[in-house]
Amino acid sequence: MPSQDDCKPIDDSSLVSAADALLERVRVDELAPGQCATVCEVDVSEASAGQLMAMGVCEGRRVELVKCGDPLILRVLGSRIGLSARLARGVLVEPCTTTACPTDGPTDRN
Amino acid sequence: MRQAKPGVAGVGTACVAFVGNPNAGKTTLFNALTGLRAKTANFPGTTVERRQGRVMLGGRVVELLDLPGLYSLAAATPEEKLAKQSLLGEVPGQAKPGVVVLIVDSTNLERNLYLASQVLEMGLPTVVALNMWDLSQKRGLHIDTKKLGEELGCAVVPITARTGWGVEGLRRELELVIDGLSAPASSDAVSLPTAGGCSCSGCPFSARYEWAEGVGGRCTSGQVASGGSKTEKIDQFLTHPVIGVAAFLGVMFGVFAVIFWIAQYPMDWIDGLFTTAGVLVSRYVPEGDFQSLLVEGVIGGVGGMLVFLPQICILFFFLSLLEDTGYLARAAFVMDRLMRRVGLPGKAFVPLLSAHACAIPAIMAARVIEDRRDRLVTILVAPLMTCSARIPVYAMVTALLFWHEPMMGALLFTCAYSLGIAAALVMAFVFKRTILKGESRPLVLELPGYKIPSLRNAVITMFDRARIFVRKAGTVILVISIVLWALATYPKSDAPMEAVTISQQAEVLAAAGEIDAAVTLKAQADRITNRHALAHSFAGRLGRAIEPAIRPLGFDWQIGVGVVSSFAAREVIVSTLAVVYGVGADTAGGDPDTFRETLASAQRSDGTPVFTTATCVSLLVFYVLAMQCLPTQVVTRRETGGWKWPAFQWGYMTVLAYTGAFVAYQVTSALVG
Ligand SMILES: Nc1nc2c(ncn2[C@@H]2O[C@H](COP(=O)(O)OP(=O)(O)O)[C@@H](O)[C@H]2O)c(=O)[nH]1
Repeated sequence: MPSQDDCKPIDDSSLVSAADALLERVRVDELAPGQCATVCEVDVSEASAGQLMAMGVCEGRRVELVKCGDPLILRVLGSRIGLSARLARGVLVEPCTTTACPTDGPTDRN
Repeated sequence: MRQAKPGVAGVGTACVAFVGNPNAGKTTLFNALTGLRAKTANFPGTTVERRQGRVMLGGRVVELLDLPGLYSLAAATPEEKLAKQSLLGEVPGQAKPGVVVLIVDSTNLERNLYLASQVLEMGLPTVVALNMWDLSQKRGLHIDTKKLGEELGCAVVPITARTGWGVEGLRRELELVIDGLSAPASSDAVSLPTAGGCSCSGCPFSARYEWAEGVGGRCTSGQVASGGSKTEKIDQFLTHPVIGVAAFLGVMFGVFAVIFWIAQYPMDWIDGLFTTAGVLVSRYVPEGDFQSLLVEGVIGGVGGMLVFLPQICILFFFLSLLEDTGYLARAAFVMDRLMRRVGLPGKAFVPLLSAHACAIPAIMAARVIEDRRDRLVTILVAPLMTCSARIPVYAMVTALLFWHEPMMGALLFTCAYSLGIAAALVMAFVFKRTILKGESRPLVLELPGYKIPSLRNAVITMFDRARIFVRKAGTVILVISIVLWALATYPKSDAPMEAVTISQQAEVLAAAGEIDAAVTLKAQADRITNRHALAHSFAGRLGRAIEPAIRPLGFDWQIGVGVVSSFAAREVIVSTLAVVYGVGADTAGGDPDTFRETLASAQRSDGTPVFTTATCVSLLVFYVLAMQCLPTQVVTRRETGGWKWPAFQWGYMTVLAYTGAFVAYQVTSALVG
């Protein structure tokens, strides 16, 4: 179970490794804080999947990990959602190569 | 005015449905339009709420209908299903809405447009209320409302629901749409996303999101100031696993301190009001059964229910404020991991904590929990928490055990509170592994940006909850209070010889001018009569009948009478014990010294004292764990939609209380001797 201590600070090495991992699927809870990714698979119970999709976590959408831990925080479509780590483990993503999320809704910081 | 049109609700009354994402400001807008006139009720046969209110719009009566806040219309949750059915006109007894007002948060267009696409697809005439206009302006966001209207194929009105800015424009637009309902639908040029145009395999959601992003992108421009950064900074602390929990406990502690501090005044007023009413009725209604029914049954019963009202109101007032600021979402977020240990979601924490003031608002507040099983478990265990009605009972036992020993008294209170909490957590754990099996729904929760709460919303929520409580609980409680009154009054018995002699003496003294002595004697005679009457009533007989069952708990038949008569309200045990042991009911509150001494010196038939240490402990444990609160049961029924769960709740808590008291009595007897 990821705890607060597992949080990787966003540094160059993690970005490089993220770039290396291009096209490689990782679980959303394995992203570094501030890193964004495209959702490629949501493998959770039906009820939770419905909730996630309605909030914008579904295939092809871009998400950003804001804060790791259990529960963690994702930014999706400009709003922030808290997500239990158990669910996050069922969300597979492809990390983006660039650091910043290019289009992330109007409330994106800066 | 104009002739009735197809699709318009009822004869002449148009129905306008309000739909929107949670936190989009739907409640605020609805309140701005209807105020206190709106009524909250459940959808028939469910526990999902809807609010309805009638307003005048352009010279005609229009029915406004507030549907539950939704992220989508996928019909996956009961709320979504009912909202969809409402829009389709499939809810029995409710007309199909003629117009939809779609509340869209302008600071978060894409996410909100997702729901918009589903609602627009239903083809009802729609007006989009583009809310939070003040916030999006402040952030430098330019939204082209005209273009957005073209894209969506309906009118778009920018509003700031909180201040009421633009609401007049929205009303005008609504009037236009209602007037023009006969005109053909104008959704011709709109290209809504369809499942067929899905770009990704097997995910119809994605197409909608792409559409929403496209529309949002085309209609907005401007340099976006960092709108969410303040929220993010605050959240670094409030969602921190340690600081966040500490902050939450601090906030809740503050709320409770205020509740206990403020609520005592209105509670005293209500108490005083009903006492005065009782005195007045006794003065003007001739003495007899009818007077007793009015004073003890009706006034006593209703008063006993209404004293809870201040706590309910204050708690909901503060919960509404906390909810509006966006803080409650953070509370659920940080408590999630801790609550999960007993199998409950983080959202169960606020209801369980609120139960320490009163279980009734706590059970009503459990609505925020989405999963039915999680919600049921929370409702089932909430009454185990020490509510304020238990305090008189705890105070009585403390007085008996530790008279003038404040430290020991505080310790006893702490133990009683801890026992309640421990029992609730253990039972939640047990229920989640037995009858309501299943992992709790993992947390998925929007963390909305922090906002300044609206006092108006809080006041309206408060009145709303109070109204529900009084209306739902009032009728049932009245009936049961009358039944309990009858049990304690019938069958009548003649005054015992002893009392008759004493009253004769009193009359002699009064004739001789010794008024004080006469009054004292008369009071003594009354006490003996009351005690005798109660002992021979049905309640007294019931007490005797259950004596064999409660003897292992260290209770005698008089305590049995107390247990029976406090079935509807646990604090009644204190006044009942006062009557059965012959103190006089009014002394119980007034003069603790006499009350304590009488109870402490009460003897069993064999001459041993009744209230030994073991019996006191056992009584305390019993009242920590027993249900003994009818208003709570009525509210459980309302929230679970039937009598099955309140019956189960009563059953398990009684078994728990009995077992707990039994163990407590046997162990304490063995230890103390
Ligand atoms: N600044 C601003 N805040 C608003 C506006 N409308 C609602 N709010 C606030 O947004 C929060 C959520 O509103 P509420 O009506 O409870 O949303 P609901 O969940 O859609 O019913 C509350 O704190 C409101 O005071 C608005 O137009 N401007």
